[in-house]
Amino acid sequence: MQRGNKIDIQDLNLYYGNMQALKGISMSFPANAITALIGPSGCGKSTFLRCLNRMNDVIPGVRITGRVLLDGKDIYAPDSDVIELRKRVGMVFQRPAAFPLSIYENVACAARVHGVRDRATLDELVEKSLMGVGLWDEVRDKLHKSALGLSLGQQQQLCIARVVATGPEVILLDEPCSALDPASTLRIEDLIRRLEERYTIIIVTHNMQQAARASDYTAFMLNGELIEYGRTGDVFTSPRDPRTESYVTGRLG
Amino acid sequence: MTRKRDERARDRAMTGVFMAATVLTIGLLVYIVVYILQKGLHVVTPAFLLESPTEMGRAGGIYPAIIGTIAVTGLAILIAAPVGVATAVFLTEYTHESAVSRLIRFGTENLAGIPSIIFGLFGFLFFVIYLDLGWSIISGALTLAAMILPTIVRTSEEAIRAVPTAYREISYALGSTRWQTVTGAVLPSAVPGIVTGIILAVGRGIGETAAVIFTAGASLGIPASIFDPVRTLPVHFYILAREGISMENAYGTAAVLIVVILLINIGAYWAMNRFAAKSNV
Repeated sequence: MQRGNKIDIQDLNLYYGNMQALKGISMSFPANAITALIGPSGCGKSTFLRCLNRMNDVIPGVRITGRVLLDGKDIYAPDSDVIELRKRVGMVFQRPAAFPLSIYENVACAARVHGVRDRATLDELVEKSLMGVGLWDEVRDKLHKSALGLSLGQQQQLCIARVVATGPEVILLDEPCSALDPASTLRIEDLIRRLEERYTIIIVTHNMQQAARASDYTAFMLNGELIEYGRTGDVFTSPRDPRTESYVTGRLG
Repeated sequence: MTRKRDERARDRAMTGVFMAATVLTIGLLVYIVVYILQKGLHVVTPAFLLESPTEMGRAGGIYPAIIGTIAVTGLAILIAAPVGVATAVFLTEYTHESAVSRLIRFGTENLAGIPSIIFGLFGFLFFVIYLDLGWSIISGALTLAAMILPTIVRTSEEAIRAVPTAYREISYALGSTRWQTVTGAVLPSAVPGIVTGIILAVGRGIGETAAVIFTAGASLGIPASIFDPVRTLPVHFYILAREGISMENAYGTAAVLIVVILLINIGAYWAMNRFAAKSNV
């Protein structure tokens, strides 16, 4: 299958004050594929992920240079609309943080943000989003009960449904399974696999088995630099860089 | 062996000390409330609540003072609550922690420590004289609003800060504007805390004497507009007691004041529980 590139990164640098956290990263994320970002804690993989939907904008003292092209258009260009960008590039966080609202409202609020008001449209969208993440059958009878009554794994599915409801093209996942038990982790990985058909997915993980199991491409980062990037099978079985090899074999990090 | 026995004796003794302190606190509160109610409650009849006073308050009721209290405190809250909550939202959601925001916080905290009689003097010089609003509901309400503003800012700020950062991040990541994030993700979780702060402010406002006696006046008439002077319940109580007009009616007024404040607190708890129940269906 021929895949174009959804996101192109050109010489991306990020500074926290005087500290350089990302160093000259250039890479492309293929459309409708899962790319895993791996690397030891503090290597900048989450920071890098947050550059892709401009979530670093709100942190004081952050300076970014370089270009991030989404479908060929620079998201850091002065005329770029950050609201529209975040609608197109959704994000799922490490801890499954459902709002203290009903299950229904947790999904509906995402659509309301983008101006969907009609009750019937919302009902349909909530059902479709929950079905899309495989949660519908479990929650259809308790849509108006608090989302905080769900298990952590279910809450994370709900968070993904919330992102799906905004109609994104890209979904960023920042260690989505690190707070989950093994069974829930597998559920989320299955889900990510199914989402691949419709979305471009980029997942940060410190779990190498997860990267090996659940991704098509893998990028290895170390100290803010992109060390190696390629097909997941190649990165894990025949890494080109000795540092990648140390990391994937468990000798580093 | 002996050491262990010493430690146990000390433990028992300290348990007693802490209990005694608690009993003293609760006991004092109960004593004041019971004393006032005992002295004053028998004067409180429907007629006492619904009639105007005669002979300067020696006879008749306290109806104008009830109206005055509701008008001054109500208007003060209407002014202070939006301004206070907006300030808290600005400090927490629109600015990063900086020297300026610390200075603003330091300023509001100091404002909260100023004695109310100073607010009364300021209100008298600024609203009553300089702005020529005279002794009136509006002068009293503006003065009271300035006085309770720090409480509202402070409690709202704490309530807003207690909202998990994750809610804000999620909201922004979904493509919300700052306004959508504040109204959709932050304020709903902060409302119980904000409401508590406002209720506290109402309680403080209702009982305030010094700030309103200089600004709202001491008139016993029924106001026709917010530019008319009024007498609030605490001022009425103060005048009745200070000038020896009628201790009986003073205690009656105090009893009404205490019951009203208790009712407000009960109402606040009821509202908060309802809100909490609603958000946790």
